[in-house]
Amino acid sequence: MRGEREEVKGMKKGLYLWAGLLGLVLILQLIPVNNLLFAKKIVPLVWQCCYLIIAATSLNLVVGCLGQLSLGHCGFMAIGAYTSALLSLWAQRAGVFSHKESVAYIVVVLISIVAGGLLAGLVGLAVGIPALRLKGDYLAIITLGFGMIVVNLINNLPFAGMDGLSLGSAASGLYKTGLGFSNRLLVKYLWIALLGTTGAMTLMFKFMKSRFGRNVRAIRDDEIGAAACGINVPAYKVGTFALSACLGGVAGGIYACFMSALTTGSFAFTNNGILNSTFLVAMCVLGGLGSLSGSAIAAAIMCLLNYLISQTGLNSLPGWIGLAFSYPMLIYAVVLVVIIIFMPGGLTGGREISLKAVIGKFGARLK
Amino acid sequence: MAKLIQTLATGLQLGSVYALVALGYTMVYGIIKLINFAHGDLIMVGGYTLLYTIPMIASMGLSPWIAVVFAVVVCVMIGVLTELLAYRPVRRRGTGMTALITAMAMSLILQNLAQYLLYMTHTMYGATVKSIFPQGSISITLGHQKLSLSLATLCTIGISCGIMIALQFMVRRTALGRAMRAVSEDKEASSLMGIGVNRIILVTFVIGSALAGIASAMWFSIYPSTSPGIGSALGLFAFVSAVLGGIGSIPGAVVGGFVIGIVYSFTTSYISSGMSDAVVFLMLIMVLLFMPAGLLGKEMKEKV
Amino acid sequence: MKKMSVPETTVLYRRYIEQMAAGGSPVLRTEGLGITFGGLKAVQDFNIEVYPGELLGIIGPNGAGKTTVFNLLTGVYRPSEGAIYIGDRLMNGSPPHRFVEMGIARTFQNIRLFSSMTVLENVMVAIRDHSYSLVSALLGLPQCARGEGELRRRAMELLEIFDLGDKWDTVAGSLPYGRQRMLEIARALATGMKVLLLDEPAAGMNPVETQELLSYIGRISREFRVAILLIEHDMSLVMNVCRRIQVINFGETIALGLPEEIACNKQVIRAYLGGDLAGGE
Repeated sequence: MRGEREEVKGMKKGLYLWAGLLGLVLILQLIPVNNLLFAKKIVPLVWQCCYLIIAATSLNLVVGCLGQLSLGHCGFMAIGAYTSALLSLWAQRAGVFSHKESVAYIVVVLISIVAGGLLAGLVGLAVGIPALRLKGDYLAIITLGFGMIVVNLINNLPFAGMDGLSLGSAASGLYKTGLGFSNRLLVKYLWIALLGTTGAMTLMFKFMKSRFGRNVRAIRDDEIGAAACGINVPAYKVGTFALSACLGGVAGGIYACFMSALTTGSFAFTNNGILNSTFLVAMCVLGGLGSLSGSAIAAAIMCLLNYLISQTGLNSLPGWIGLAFSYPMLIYAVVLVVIIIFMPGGLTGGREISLKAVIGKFGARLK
Repeated sequence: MAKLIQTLATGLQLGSVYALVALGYTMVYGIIKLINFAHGDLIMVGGYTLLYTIPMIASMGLSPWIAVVFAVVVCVMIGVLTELLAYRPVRRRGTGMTALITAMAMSLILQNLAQYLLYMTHTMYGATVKSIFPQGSISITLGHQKLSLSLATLCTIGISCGIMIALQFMVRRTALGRAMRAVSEDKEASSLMGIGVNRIILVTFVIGSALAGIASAMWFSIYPSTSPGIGSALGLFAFVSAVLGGIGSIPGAVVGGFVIGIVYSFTTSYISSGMSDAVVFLMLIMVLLFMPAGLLGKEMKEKV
Repeated sequence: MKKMSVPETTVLYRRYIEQMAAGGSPVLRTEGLGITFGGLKAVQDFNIEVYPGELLGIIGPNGAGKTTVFNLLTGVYRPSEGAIYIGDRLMNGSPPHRFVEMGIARTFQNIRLFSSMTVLENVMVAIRDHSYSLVSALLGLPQCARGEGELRRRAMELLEIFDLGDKWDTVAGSLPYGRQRMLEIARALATGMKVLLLDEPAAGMNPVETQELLSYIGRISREFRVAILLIEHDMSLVMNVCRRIQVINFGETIALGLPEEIACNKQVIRAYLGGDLAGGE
């Protein structure tokens, strides 16, 4: 039977994936932490890539796969980040762990990230139920508003106050005690980021390949047609939105581990970085709407480019070229428009990339 | 009582600026179904134009009002450029989603270009624009309290009301307005009727940008400080006004603008200035949930 | 208010209904169904009884309210008066997917396929058998792959019936128009319904395709034992396929009868040709 053969193949593939990840983690443990290039340059880049990939891919679940425009994804990231940061702080205060190399600490970190994701998912559910009754640009503006409200509320949170959150910023004080890794820990716990990314991506791929994902795509193609096939359209919309929010929250938790301090400005609609709701949507479009692998690649490319421009001294080039590179946003935006004009379908045209197809294509070209 | 009226006046003043900017959003949205995120940044463009032209014109001994002409011209040029260079090519090839991203990117480009130019010209952040309105205020005595309304406030409200009435007349009664309405209903049918669709879209951008130029003069008479990002927050509020009033509807944008202005000014003076964003957006969400087409918009149902 | 008079029916027609009723109670039934759009009564006092396995046509001139009736019968619109029963269950106000669960499936006048998905996926979406759970899908448990295989097999079976088997991997949107209509019918069948509502299935088809469609409709009715409710304004198609016909105009039922009766019904001819020309056919 064809089904069973595929089943065995699929399970094998999954097994390889996890074995590879485990191997990678083990190898990582072998690299000395004082290897400067690795610890100072590569590891932070990998962390950034990881949370951007999760954030962009989970947004693509809603924007690309479900076809509903959301401009407030960073709001969910903010919820995840602040929840996990505060939770870890609480755990530290309660004496759950004493130092950051203990097993208890790892457990606390993992629980914090998951809890951040769950809370973001719950908020996604609560926001999605009313908001998803609207469509298109109305939904876009509502989610945009949601993102702003989240930032606004966190900025005005009374309970956090001096306990680490003051006016929306989790001070570096919080990071001495709670979440937030030093350079050393970033290397040691790199596996958390990798695990989170692999886990989240696997989850999304499995979801989209199942009948549930098929129903989601059906809704994107034709809502009324989908309802006529017996799909509970509102439930699917809200469910997908909540799943996306939840994974966005996980991305936020990983972000909180990576950063040495949190500010709500990082989760705005636009800012001077590449982590904001605008750029997340841009990554989805660049990668190809509806292609999870595409948005992951787009996120990684953006992350790398940003790193290259900001870290390699391009901005110290002489004359206006160097000056232009000191305003990378300008370059990104121009490139974005050019790509959209010449490649409206993004990198992948909305299809998933499979390794087999890529190899096949290259093989054909070589011949 | 005096505080109440004062707050109301500030709200109306803010509201008339929002309304003028919202008109630009609503007209462009009505015609090409695009949230033109770059529209808010035209306020910033206008602001910087005023920053340079007002002293220049004053030194020539002319009325500062003439500076507004420059602001309008520059805003129109930028607005038209965004349409020609970005929106039109994307409209031909992309989808609604790519067009929206393009609009966000155009907003980023304008903001960062401004930053770049500021650096090149050694302009300070937060340089202040002189008001084009005459100084002075009208004092009214209400019982024991004295209330003063500045001429800028009164001029702003008066001028924008005039513009809005003229615009409404233009859209309802002239051939151009009829063509605009036709294009917004059905582009294909309009082009079959001999309407140059792209030309009408361009005209819409021209009108919207011109309104933004005028609005910038009003805005900077309230908050004179300039910065490259000034337009995005204002633009967002103006867009919210347009959605609140019913996007695509000109009276809707006006009503929405005044409502947002008043709510904003009351939240700031009676609750907390930090919460005004949240309150405004919460109000928007509430309105949309109960009146999905906004206050004055008409609901479109998908035909099955 | 004037009460709507039920159109007169012939003895032959009543005998036919009695015969159908003997086979079982109606699967789909409405009582005084009506809907108002902004003061306009689009459909009023619409009564219908659909018996298992029967072929029933609804005809009427353009704008008579046929599609509105379908939208009411499938839960797309919420009726402003009257009642819809599937079996004994009152369905007023239920969402469209509940109607599908209860056994009503439909096609659309303007085809509503999932145009970016493959032919096979289009049919798989509609199979209502909840073969595996979300958890097993997310964890990649064996029962998920098994369930997928089963869905795939059943979808292929349906595609074979409509000669779409070899096209299973094609993107639905790139099929020729006539094939798309067939696929939409296949997709509707996949829901495992008791009543199939076809909204102008022959619209835009050439005569050869229409003939093909006729034979498919006959085959579905025989092999699947489902009731088929057909909207058409192509009279000849309806006359050929349907066993009885209900005619509506301006949202009201103006005639009920067997095809041959309808063909010479004065009211119907007047509705189609306009008042003064009646009888001049």
